Amino acid sequence: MIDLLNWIDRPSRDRGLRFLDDSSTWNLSSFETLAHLAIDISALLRDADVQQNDVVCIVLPTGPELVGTIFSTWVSGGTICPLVPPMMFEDEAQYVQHLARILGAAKPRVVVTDKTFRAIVDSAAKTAGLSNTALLDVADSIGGGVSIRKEAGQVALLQFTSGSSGNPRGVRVTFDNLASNIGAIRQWIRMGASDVTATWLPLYHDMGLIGCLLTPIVSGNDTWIMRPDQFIREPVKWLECFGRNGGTLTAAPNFGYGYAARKVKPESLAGMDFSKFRVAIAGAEPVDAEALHRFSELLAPFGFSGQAYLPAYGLAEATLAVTGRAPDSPVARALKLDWDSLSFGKPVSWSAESSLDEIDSKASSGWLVSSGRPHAGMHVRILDGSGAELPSDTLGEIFVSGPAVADGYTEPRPEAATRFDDSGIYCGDAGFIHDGELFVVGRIADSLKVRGRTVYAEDLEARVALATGLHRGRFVVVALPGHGAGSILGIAEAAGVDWATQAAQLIKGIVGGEIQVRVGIGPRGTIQRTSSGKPKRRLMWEMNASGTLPLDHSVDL
Amino acid sequence: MVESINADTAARVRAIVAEIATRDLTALTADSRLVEDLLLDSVALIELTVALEVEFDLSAIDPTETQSIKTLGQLEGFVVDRISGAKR
Repeated sequence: MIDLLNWIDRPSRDRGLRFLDDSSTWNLSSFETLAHLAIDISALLRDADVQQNDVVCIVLPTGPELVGTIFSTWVSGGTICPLVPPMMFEDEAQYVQHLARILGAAKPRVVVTDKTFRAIVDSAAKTAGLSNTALLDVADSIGGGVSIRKEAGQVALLQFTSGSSGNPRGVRVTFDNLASNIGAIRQWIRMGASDVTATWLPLYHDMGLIGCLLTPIVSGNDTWIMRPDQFIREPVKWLECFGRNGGTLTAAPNFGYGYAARKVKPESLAGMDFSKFRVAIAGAEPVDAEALHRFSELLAPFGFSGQAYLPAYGLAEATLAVTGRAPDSPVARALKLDWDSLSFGKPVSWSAESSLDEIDSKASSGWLVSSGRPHAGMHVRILDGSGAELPSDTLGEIFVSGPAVADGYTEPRPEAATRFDDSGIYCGDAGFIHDGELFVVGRIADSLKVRGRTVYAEDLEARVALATGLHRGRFVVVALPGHGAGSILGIAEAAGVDWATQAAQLIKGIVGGEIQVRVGIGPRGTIQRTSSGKPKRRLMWEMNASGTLPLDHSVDL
Repeated sequence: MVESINADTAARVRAIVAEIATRDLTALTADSRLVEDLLLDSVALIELTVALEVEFDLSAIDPTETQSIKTLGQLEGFVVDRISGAKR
């Protein structure tokens, strides 16, 4: 098992993390420098009486201090909880409310921040009513600290994932989870001593934090790190990491590859060599084959091979990584699904089988790309609505088990689409297994990806209720993954047709042209609910697929 | 004269927003909210900021300047003010 803290005892002076500064220059923070920083900050935490299993919330921008604070917390026996700093166009009061809700759930012993965010974090802590929480400025740590190692606690990371608005949820990731998943990732991508990671992902979410920061640090590998806003401003700097600075590994959502392909001119790549760029994890499903094609078109003349693409599936509830295409296996396969016949618990059919590099980019619609096979120690099964395992090529819910399955949520959420039980995670994603490879169709009923962003059924219901004045109990939204972008079904009980039109227009206005919207009206009892009144969206999705929802009229937009 | 320049600025802002939100211009109104209605996420909002700086040759836009901007109309007003302020 990997020890997350071993590197601190014998840190390299030559290797480390290179951060891009605001004058577009890379600055090396060697592992030795970072280890000293972690020890110095741990003195600050000690003064604040951080004990084993105490939570340390971190509101810091990408930089050496963030890394130092993460490892100082672990050296002190604590649990890290990295939180998103305020963003562009974000109203201060709104951010304070959001942060306060998370702080209230995380119950930190201390919050570590810097002078930029101190005032705003302070008001969030006050709003949350945290009387026992100290606010620390990372700049107050003094050099020359003495290393005092406390025994590690159980939980390494409290990972807050975005849910529907107003509903933050924290996943408890243990040290064993982290060590196991980092080990599995290294084995999956055949990570060696000469590999170099480059990333622009935010470091408060699993893919950036675990995949692109912690994995290379505990492995002692050189890493190039820029902020998301720096990537947006100068995407060529990310590409330079591979074409000029020896980078071999990265992970990004579809957007990253598509944006770089759109903004970077081939002229600016003159003299670069991408032949060593061997792993480009496509860490979001569904894979956008067109974005990857455009990225390949830009870089192929400079030695890049599409062999580097590793489509992957993962979720914070399983630490990070669950399945992925292995680097030395054939190019990711793709199936042209018969989307209209897709039905929960029924065999999946397709009209053609191909591979990621052969799908015509102009006609990529309708193809679903494989997310590969489970990583070492992880198991993926497909279950029907009653929890029974389904055979291959049959659509059901993805269930994940193995050593990376996290310890649960900060608070129980029995009604949530993603839920833990004793043996694993019901992921809330619909998918199937074909030839041992996982194909992820989409979320089951509670949310839909719209132009890369997750839209929650619950939020759409709230918007409709607000705009129309209709009682929330009389209207539900069910998201339906499907052909192309998918569709949204609104179900209303005993409401007028005018009203249904208004609801359909409102939803259409938000989700836009490529998503089909239908609002159906049925008699009282059409909306299926649990005994506590929560809508059973998955059941309604299944009923809709099998044509058993008793809808009298419907409005289609 | 000034009004027509401002109208032109607003139209260019709207075109940029439409492109980043991947929405038809016809789907946008001054009341469209950037986050709630147009679904711009944190990265898209950075992209928008950078695109405005480049298009209108503006000095770097600070997050504190944009935190009260909720709608497309407010954003258009902000850019018009920023440009006229820069010329003064």
